Amino acid sequence: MNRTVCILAAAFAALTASFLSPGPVRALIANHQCSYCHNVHGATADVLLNASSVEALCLTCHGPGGISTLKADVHLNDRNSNYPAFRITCRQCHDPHDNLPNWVGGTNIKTVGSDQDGTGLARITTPNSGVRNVAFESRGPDAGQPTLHSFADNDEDGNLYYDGVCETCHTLTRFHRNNSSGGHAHNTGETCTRCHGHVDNFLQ
Amino acid sequence: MNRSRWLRSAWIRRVWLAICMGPILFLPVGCSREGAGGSGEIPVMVSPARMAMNGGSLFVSDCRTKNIYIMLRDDLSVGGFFRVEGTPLAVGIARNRVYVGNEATGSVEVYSLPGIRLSYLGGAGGLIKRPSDLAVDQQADRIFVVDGFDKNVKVYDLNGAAITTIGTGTLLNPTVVALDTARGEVFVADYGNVNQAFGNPAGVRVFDYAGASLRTITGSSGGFSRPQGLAIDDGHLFLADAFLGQILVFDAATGTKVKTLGSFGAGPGQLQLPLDVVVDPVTKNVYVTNNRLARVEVFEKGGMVP
Repeated sequence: MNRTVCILAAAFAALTASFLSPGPVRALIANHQCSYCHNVHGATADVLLNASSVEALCLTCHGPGGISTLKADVHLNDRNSNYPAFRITCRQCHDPHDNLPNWVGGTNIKTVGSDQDGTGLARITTPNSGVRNVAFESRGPDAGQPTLHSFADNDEDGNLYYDGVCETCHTLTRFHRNNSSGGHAHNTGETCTRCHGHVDNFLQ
Repeated sequence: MNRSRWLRSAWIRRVWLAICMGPILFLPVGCSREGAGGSGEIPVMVSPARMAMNGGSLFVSDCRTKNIYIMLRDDLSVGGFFRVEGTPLAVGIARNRVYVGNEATGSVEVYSLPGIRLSYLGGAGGLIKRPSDLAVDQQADRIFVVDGFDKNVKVYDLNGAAITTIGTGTLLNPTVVALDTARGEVFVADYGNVNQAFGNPAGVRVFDYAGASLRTITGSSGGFSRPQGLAIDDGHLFLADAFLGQILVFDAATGTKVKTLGSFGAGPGQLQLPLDVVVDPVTKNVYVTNNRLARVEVFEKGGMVP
């Protein structure tokens, strides 16, 4: 009896999730079960979450003291940058429910990009450039890190569209902007986070 | 002039702190004495995580600024700091030594109170791969270190000799540890199996000092899922749930919830990602590292349980 109730509850949760997140949830299922973030019976806030921010929820595992080895923090601006102060949080770049296909025919990794407009493609609503495509793929071994196209590709595919995970937002950085201006040869092929760590607010 | 205003003067505060902590007398405020530290103004705390109390001072780790901050318990002003190269997280104090779990070097480093690195617990480099928390029983000459990588608790004496290991095979994703020194019990918070299909896998597992499993307070019965801070006071277990943004207080023997402190939010007394909790055994004030809000929260008399 209890098992039946649990199965029905799980089905209800999955159905609810399908309405809330139009994409599939394969990546989520591969790494975390639904109930690890969503509380079916005791949720105290919207979308079956408890009264906590999504950022705090992510950082319970990926923040200081969290159990994940993939540590992260929000994206802050460098005090010497051309940008006014900003604070980019988890869901602005990641859809925790799945890795989506990208506009160049591949599939993104690290749940980068979300379905912004019903196309099912990985996109990001950028601060200064509207909704943009984002491509973040693994392009070969680099100590387990994705390389090249994934971060900043110097328009590797020659389509005049700078869609790397870092550059798709950047318009005022010295290097790797989302257009052809500025320098695009800065450490091309390197993994950006090797110097600008996710856990260090992407600062150097 | 009331006491807290009096303490606002930097120089007077320095003297006060020095009186409270004799060994730190010659440390100029803001001066880092670790191998590669900086100098000048005290850097702003941005990501407080673990915490330990020593007399009138709170020692707070910040892995973003890579400092251990020394705060005055009474007004939470920062009186000093020392820098730790790497990722300082766990922190504990015994016999005028500060034990710092460094996730980057995979070790527990031992500092003098002015912040000079003296040695490593059990040896340098990689022996405790992810020292996410530690607890000290000075009288029993024991220090308990959670290793999040090996998924166990490593036990040393205060000189660094390995004694035993607790919870291997039982603990799945341990995060923090606290001691009931009166009863000789070790409380270990565990996120549990994150791939468990149904239910709440979190729990607090209780062992004796030799490592025998005594009981478990489950997350499903206790209403917590991300236990990130533990403290024991007067037979009560204080648990910081990072997800709820709340401190849950249990009867440590039965696991019955007796009260809660705080709520999720950004206002006074509200928490976002609380990562540790300390109870002052004398005043019964409860201190919480409020990570996302970059501050330490105090619940006056929060340790009083009816």
